[in-house]
Amino acid sequence: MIVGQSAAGSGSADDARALVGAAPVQGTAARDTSASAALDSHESVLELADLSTAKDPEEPPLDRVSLLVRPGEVVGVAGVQGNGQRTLVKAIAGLADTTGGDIHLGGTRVSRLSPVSRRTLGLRVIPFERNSEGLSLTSALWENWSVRELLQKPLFSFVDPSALRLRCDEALGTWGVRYASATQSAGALSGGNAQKVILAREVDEDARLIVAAQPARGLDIGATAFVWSALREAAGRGCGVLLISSDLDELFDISHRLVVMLSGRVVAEFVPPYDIAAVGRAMTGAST
Amino acid sequence: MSFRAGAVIRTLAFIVLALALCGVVFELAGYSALLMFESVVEGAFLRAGGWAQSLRWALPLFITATGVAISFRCGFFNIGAQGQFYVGAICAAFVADVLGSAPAALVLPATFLAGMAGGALWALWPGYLRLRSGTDEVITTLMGNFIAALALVYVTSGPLKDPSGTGQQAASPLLPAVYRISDSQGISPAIIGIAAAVALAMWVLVNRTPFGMLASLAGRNPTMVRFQGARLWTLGLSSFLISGGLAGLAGTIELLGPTGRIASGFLPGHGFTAVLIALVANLSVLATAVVSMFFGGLASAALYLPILAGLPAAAIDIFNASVALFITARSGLLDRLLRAARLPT
Repeated sequence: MIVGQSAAGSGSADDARALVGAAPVQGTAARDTSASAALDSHESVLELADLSTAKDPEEPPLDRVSLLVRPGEVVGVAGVQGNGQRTLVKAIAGLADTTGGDIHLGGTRVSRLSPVSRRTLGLRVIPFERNSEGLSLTSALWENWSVRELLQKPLFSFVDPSALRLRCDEALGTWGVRYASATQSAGALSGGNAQKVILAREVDEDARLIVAAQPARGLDIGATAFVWSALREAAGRGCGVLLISSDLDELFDISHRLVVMLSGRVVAEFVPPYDIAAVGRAMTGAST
Repeated sequence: MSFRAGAVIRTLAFIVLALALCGVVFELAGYSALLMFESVVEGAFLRAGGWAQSLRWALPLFITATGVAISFRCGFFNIGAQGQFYVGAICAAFVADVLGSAPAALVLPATFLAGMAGGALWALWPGYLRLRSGTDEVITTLMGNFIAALALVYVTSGPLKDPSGTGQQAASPLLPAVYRISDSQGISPAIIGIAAAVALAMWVLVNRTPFGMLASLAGRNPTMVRFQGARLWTLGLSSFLISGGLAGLAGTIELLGPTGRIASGFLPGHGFTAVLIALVANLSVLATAVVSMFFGGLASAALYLPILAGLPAAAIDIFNASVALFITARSGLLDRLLRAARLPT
C-alpha cells in the first residue's frame, strides 16, 4: 500500500499514526484544559464585529458577521460549501471589499490595513485551493516558501537567495516534507507534501491566528493526521485557529467551539458536546 | 543546474532546427544554403571589424530585450518594445532639440532621462489599462507600435524635420558631434558602459531583490502572490515601466550614438527582435546577453549577405521568423526526443 509506505518513511509517522487512533480521546482532553484557559482570558486574537462585504459574483457576501477567536482556541466554521466561507477567509486576509463592521487582530483594528500588514501582526492563511491560492506549482519550493518573507521586505532591497534556500531546507526538514531539492518545482510534490510546504510557511513561531480552510482536503490518512497535530500544537502555543471545513466529524473532533455559516451569516454557535442533528439543522436553515 | 543545462540544450536545438529549416527554404529558392551560412558567420564575426559591427547591433538589442524579459517574467506579454523604442527616441530628440546649444553635460543627462521617460510612458498606458480593466496588453502594446511609428513619421517630417534633408526619408537634423556618444560605427566606451550597467542592474533586480522574485512568482501564479498580500499593481506597473524605460534607453542610444538622428521607420525590427531574444533566452539576463550577441551578429551579417552570397538582406528575417516559429510552437516533439535521449529538460 503506497499510503502506508510513504507514511512509514517519514519521521513523524508513528506520532501521526498514534494521533489518528487516539485523536478523539486526546482531542477531548486537550479541549478541556486549553478551552477553559481560553475562556478565562478576555483577550482575542481575532474579532469580527458586524462585518459585511460587498457583493461578489462567486460567493454570498458576509452579512453582519460577528466572531471571536481567543488565544489557544480552535473555532470551527461549519456550513454547506458556498455559504460565504470563501468570503470570510478573503475578508480576514484583506482581499475582500468590506462595506461595514470591523476586524481586529490581537486588539489592533485592521479593517483598513493591507494584507501584508495583517500578516505582520501574525495572521496566517492556509487557503482553500492548495494548488492555486496556496502554491505556485511551476515555481521552486524555496520561492514558494519564502514568498511571505519577501513581502515583508522593501521591494527593491537586497536579498540573498542562497540563504533563503538554506532556511527553506531547514523548515521543510522540520516539517518532514519529502522532497529532493529546494529548487525543484512545487508541482512535483504529492498533495500531502505540498500541504506541508504551506504549513511550513504559514505555521511559524510568530503566527497569532491561523485561518485554515479545509486544510486536510484530499490528503491521505497520515497527512491528515499530521495537519491536525500541527494545528493543535499551534493552538497549544497560544495561537488562535479558525478552521473552515465541510467535514463535521473533523470539526467536532478538533474545535473548542463551532459556528455555522448560512448565506453569508453566522446563524448558530455550538459548544461541545456537539449535537449533530442541531448543527445539521442550522447548516440547512431548517426550522427547529 | 541540470535544469539549466536542459534549457540550454533545448534552446540550441531550436536554433539548429531553425537553421535547418532556413537551409531548406534557401535551397528550394535556388540559393546555396551552405554559402549562406558561411557568409553569415563571416559577415558577423570573421571579417575585419565584424565583431564591432555585431556588438553595435547587439548592445541596444540587449538593453531592450532585458526590459521585455522583465515584463514577460511578471506575466505581461508586452510586445510594444518597438513603439516604446520609438517614443523614447522621439522624446529624447525633442529634448536635445529644445536644449539647442547648451553644454553637453546638461544635454546628455536630460536627453537620456527624456528618452527613458518617453519609453516608460508608452508602456504605462497599456499597463494601466491591463491592471485597471483587464485590457489585453498584447493588443494595446501592438497597436501602440503603429501609433508610435506614425508619430515618428509626423515628428520627422514636421516639428523636427531636417530642413536640409533630401526628402527621401523624413529625418531630424544630425546631432552635432559634441552631443554624440559614439560615431556612426556605433561602438564606444560610453555605450558599452551603459549596456554593462544595465546588465548588472537587471541581473541584481531579477535575482537578488524581492521585486524580481515576486514578479517571477506573480507571472507564474498571480492568485498565490495576491493571497500572500502582494500588490499586483505595484509589481505589474513597475515591470511595464522598467520594460518601456529600457526600450526608451535603447532609442536614446540610437539617437545619440550610431544613427545621430531620428528618421521615419529607422530600425524597424528592433523591438520585435528584442521580443524574440527574450523568448529564446528564456527570460534570463545572462542568456539574453549571449542571445543578443547572436542576433546582433545576424543583423550585422544582413548587411554583408548581398555582397557575399548574392542574397537579399531580408534572408535574415526568414531566419528570425523560423526561430520565432520554433520557440513559440514549443515543439512537443523536441521535448519528447530530449526525454527519450534521457536529457534533462
